[in-house]
Amino acid sequence: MEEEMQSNSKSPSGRGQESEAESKDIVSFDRSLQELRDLRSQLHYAADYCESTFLKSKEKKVVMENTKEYICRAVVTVVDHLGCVSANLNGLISETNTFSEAEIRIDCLKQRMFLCEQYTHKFSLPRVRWKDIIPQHKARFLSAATKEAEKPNDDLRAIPGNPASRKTIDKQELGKDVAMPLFLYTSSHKPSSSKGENNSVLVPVHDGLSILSRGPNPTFHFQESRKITGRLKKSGHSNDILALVRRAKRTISSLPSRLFQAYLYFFLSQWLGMIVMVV
Amino acid sequence: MARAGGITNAVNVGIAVQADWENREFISHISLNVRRLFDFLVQFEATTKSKLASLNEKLDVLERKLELLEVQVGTASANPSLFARDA
Repeated sequence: MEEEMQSNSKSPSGRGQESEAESKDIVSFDRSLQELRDLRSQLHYAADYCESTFLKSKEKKVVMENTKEYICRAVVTVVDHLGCVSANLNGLISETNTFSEAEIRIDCLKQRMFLCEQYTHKFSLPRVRWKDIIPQHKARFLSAATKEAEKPNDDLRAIPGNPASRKTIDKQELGKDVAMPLFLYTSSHKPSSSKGENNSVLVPVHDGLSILSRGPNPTFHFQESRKITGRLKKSGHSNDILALVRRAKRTISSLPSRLFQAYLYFFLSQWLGMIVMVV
Repeated sequence: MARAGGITNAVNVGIAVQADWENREFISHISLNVRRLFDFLVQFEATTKSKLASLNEKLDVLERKLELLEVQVGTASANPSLFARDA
């Protein structure tokens, strides 16, 4: 823009000089053409005069010599004038700087129009672009805690150090596992062991269904998932136990005292059963 | 006397013939230069016509480009909402 302003500020004087030079060339061209036209009439007049003097005079040799000399000078003058006219015309035609300048300006305008079109497309594209609806998670469903901890964080949209992207990832991963309630998850995702273990594990599932279906607790779900994701190196079995204990602790703060007692009873019994099995 | 008159006549004829040849030479020189001048004018006309044709072509191209830009600017100014950022 500054260059354009400078060029615009400089352009009037430069254009004035160019226009003056062009006007001078045009004036000289017109003068040489006018002289050529005058020469034509002068040559006709000189030819008539020479003819008449040659016929009337007695010393024809002298008249002949004068005529020859006049013809030589006239030819030289005509050649000179023709050269001048042709040079002026050639100079006027070959000066195509103005055309190239106009072409450059038109190309510049074309580029600007192209940029404007690009911006227009850029601003009009979001109107018609498809937006993905982020799934909403309900608190009565739980995500696969252990599986989520074992999952590699290979999502392309996840940017390390960006809390917003982490939140979206958690939501999406939770949304994928939302379709499975807790009792189905515990019955299907437990590692293969004896039947007694399965029965002991299924106890909190039944309890969770009866409680969580009555009152939703959104903080319970997300806090647990964050805690579990922080411990990636532990085994699945110990993670289950710790998750159960933490879940019991966190539900203590929100549940009434009766429910707390029932919860504590069930979880302690489950914990003891697990310890016995491990031993 | 007759011999002297015949000699002078022969000399006069010779001088006249020489002058005639000189005049012919001069006319041939002048005609040759005029022909060269004519050739130059014909050649100059051809080159000038070709240059003028190329200039006319360039002017046509520039005129078309200007018309295209005029149409584009007209369409853009007819729909100013396309260039608004809030739209």
